[in-house]
Amino acid sequence: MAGEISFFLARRIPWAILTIFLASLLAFSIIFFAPGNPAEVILTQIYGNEPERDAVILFIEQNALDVPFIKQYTTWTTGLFYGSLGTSLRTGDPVLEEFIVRFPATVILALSAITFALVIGLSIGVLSAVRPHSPIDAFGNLIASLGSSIPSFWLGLLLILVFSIHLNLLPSFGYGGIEHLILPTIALGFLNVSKILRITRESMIDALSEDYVFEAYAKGLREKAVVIRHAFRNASVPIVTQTGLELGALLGGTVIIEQIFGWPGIGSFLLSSVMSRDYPVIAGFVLLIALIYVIVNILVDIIYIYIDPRIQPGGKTHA
Amino acid sequence: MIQGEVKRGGADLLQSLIYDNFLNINYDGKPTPSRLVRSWEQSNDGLTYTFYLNRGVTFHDGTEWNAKTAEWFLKWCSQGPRKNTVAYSKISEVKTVDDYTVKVTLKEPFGAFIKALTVEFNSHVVSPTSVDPAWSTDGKIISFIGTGAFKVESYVKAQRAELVRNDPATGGGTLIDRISYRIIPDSHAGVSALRAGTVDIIGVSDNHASVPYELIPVMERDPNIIVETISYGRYQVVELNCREGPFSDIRVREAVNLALDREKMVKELLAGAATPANTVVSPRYPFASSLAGTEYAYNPARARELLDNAGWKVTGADGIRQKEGKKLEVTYIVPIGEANSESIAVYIQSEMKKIGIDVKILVLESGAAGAERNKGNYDMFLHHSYGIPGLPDGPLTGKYHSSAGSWPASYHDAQLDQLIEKAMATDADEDYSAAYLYSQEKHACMPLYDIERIAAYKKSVKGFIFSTSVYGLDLSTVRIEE
Amino acid sequence: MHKHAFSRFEQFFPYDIKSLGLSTGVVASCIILILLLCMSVFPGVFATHDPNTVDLDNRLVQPGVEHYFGTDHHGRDIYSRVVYGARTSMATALSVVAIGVIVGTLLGLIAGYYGGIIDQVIMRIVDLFLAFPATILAIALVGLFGPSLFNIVLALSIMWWVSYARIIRGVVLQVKEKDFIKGAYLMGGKNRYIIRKHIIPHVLSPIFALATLDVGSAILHITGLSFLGLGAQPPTAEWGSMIQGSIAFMETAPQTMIFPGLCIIITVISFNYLGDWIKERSDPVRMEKITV
Repeated sequence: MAGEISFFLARRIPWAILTIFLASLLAFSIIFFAPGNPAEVILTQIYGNEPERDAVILFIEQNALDVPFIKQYTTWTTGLFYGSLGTSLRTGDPVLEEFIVRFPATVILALSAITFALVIGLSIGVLSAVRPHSPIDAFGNLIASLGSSIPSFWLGLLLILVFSIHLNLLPSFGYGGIEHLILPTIALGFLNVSKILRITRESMIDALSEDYVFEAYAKGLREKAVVIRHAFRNASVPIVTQTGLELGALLGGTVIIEQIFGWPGIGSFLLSSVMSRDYPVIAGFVLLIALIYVIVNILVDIIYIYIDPRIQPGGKTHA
Repeated sequence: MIQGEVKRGGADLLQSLIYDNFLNINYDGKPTPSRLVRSWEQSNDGLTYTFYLNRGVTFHDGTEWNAKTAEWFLKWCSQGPRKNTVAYSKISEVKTVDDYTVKVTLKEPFGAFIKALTVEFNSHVVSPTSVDPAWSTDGKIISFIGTGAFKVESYVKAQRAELVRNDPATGGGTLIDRISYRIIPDSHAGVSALRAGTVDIIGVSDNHASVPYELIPVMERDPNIIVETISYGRYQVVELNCREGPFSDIRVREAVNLALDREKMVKELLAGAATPANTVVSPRYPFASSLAGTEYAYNPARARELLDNAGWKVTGADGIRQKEGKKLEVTYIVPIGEANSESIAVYIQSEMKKIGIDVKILVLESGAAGAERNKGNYDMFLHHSYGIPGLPDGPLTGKYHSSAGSWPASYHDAQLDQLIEKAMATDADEDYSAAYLYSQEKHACMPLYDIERIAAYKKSVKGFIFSTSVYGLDLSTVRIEE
Repeated sequence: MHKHAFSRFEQFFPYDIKSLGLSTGVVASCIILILLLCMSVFPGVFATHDPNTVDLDNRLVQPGVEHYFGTDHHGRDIYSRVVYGARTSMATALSVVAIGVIVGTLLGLIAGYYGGIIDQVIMRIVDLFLAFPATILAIALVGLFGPSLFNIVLALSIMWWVSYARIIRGVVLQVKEKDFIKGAYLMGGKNRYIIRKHIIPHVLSPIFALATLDVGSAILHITGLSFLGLGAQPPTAEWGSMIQGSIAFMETAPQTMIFPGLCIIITVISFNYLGDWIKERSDPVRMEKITV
């Protein structure tokens, strides 16, 4: 198996690196070619008024904003090999530091949302599959339909309205305690609940209709044992894949929820950087998010190999 | 606890608690002595400034404030991270005269030099031991060491800061022992936090209206919350393209100014918390006293008459005026992030429609908006104008002098240039006043309302006063009573 | 081709209604979607007020006979704005999906049919876009080129074609292996003819199912970006920006937030129901699982 994995990695990693570089180039060029002058935007933000012409020229010279694209991009990529992603024009701190400071908050939120989705999605999904067309299946259906159609930002506001403003039970913003995590987790994770619930139900129904399940019943095993030991194990492959994909997507998709709940993650910082055209931050953050996205996807594929040895990396089955 | 964002090196109000200004400013925008500098002199040629320092002040780490540290500080300003400030780029040399006197020589006379030393984000005095390498004149700040009333105990970037009272600095003045500073990026969340009792005071850490006016009624209904506002003379205005298009006609400019019911706008859309603005700058200042009596009054009938006179007639069924077959359509650029911009823009649009002007709103990211402004590609452009300390000179040199690079399409003419140049040379109230009166008579812009700074706090917070500068934060008089 | 397409149509709507598996949900979804479509085309018929008329004397009025859904902070009728908002949302979401379908199908067909180096290049581009977080790119693009519905459609379309290209390529590869295609080759059929006659009919139904499901997802993306202030220019009625404008008033006047949100949910649910139903009905070639 180790051989399989290293073969797989050898094939995937060069391509992953190329992808990440292209992604960063794309990000860097979008920002570079967009209208407007970062020096002016940033100085306006610092001083609260349009800066004097001389101040803009000074800032441009000091931050080397007047050199051509290729040169700026080359400087930036050279820096990458020394572990530097440049400096934020807005805060004056290294981009990497800005990212590292905020990334844990985003990871916590994403993990919390995926855990929430797994707990609710798996339990309702399994129960629905075991008892199709029962009230619990109907309930599961409702959750699945709602989850994939409620806008997360609207759900977030609704939760704030009910639980923070009217009931005064949970804080509407903040970072640190469990109580701060509850509302954003629900708002962010509800869509994932729906996806995991659907895929669990589908794969469990498939698994439960396989021959070996009938054999197990015939051997006199109790239902609980059959469901858990046999069917669920076989149904877990698509669920794990889906969870991995969701997690990857969540890490880059928390922007709106971070914004609503004042969550100090990478998403809200990236949004404000976009608004002030702080392009070292935008290019750096996009690069890092793409990097994490790719790593998560590779990890999912590796887990895939472990839980289902029949599957070769790349998705071909030779059962 | 306070809400706000820490921007290191920027206009960060939290830093006002940690650092003292080199010089202070009063409520009318005049430089005054500070805890660090007793007095100053300017040579007749405008090239040298002598500063006399106060004795007995130390930084949080015990470093003494004297000519040596002051000399380092001024050199650091001109060579270190603050060198992109125009005033500091004019410094040619700094010399110690005696233990408590320093002398600064400029490369060329620069009238605004003293004022630059009063503006918080340029004049916060940092300790030479807080840069890396220590005492280097181009070092980067690596820790928060100042002479201010509070020192930093801990700081978690983008989340929180804990400040404790710095005893030697207080002289019994500061009453609270510690400040827990929370960074809440969203203003609505800030208001909820105050109402839930998680924080004691909000809004004080932002120079713009960081608390939405719409939420003031909600807070005022809460018996445990006090809301206070203060004006620093910062007006939200619509700048008009006086160079080309419909607004190059002075009658059209006057018409739009008369067609806007500012009283109603402020009462309904801004919860009555702001004050309507009817002149280019606030006439309450001595440097704009000539504007008293020139205030715009709501008069849509007169506005229609002016448009008729200007040749824009209602002909079609849609009620939009036309002239020589061209419809009276104007583009209104709103940069993202301007306070209350969306609700005001929609209101202006509907008011202008009533007198036959079709306003197209264009919300742009601030960089893109700035690019259009620099090219003069707009008819109307939303702008938060200047407040103290940017007044009185800001709007004149920044917008209405023909050399104002960011505003080529604002109102410019040779006579206004002369008036502005005279005011800049004499720095006298009556000369500023004359320049402002002239721009008001030319209807250079469309003032909307006074952007007041808002603070809201729990009843248990006593003795809060706003600082004299829009960029400052002063909690020295605050105490907490349970 | 017409004859063939007609037979697909028959497969969707055979005369035996019972075999369609029409649930109440599907029927309700169809009615809702037809209603929404009518609203989008003739909003004036449904609206009771001008959606953009500001009336500061009637701000934040509660729902009632005069204003079914109440009024917003400018005194505008929320019901009428929701009706006009349907046009905005439908038009943008359908454009995104349509562009995605056209570009994705074209590239997927080319990649799957021709294979070789062309396939490699196209699929690597697909991988590149898959490695790029969609929301992030959309925010960057829209934030920098200015907020507008056009830019939102552009930004989302750039991301949207990828899933179609992948699925179509998969379907084409499977169809290619079938005997009748091989037969057509042997008989000296031209490429274009084979694609038109034999491959397109097979990819139509999976595309149609996926596209219907995707409209809902596109509406969520568009309203989300609008909510961040990157979408419609004021005073255009758009559900996401209506919700954004309501935040300050959600406590005193929750109607400003509730109704646009409910409209989004109902619309998206309807598209999802319909999409699921079409997906179940049309499985001529075993599709790769469709997860959006």
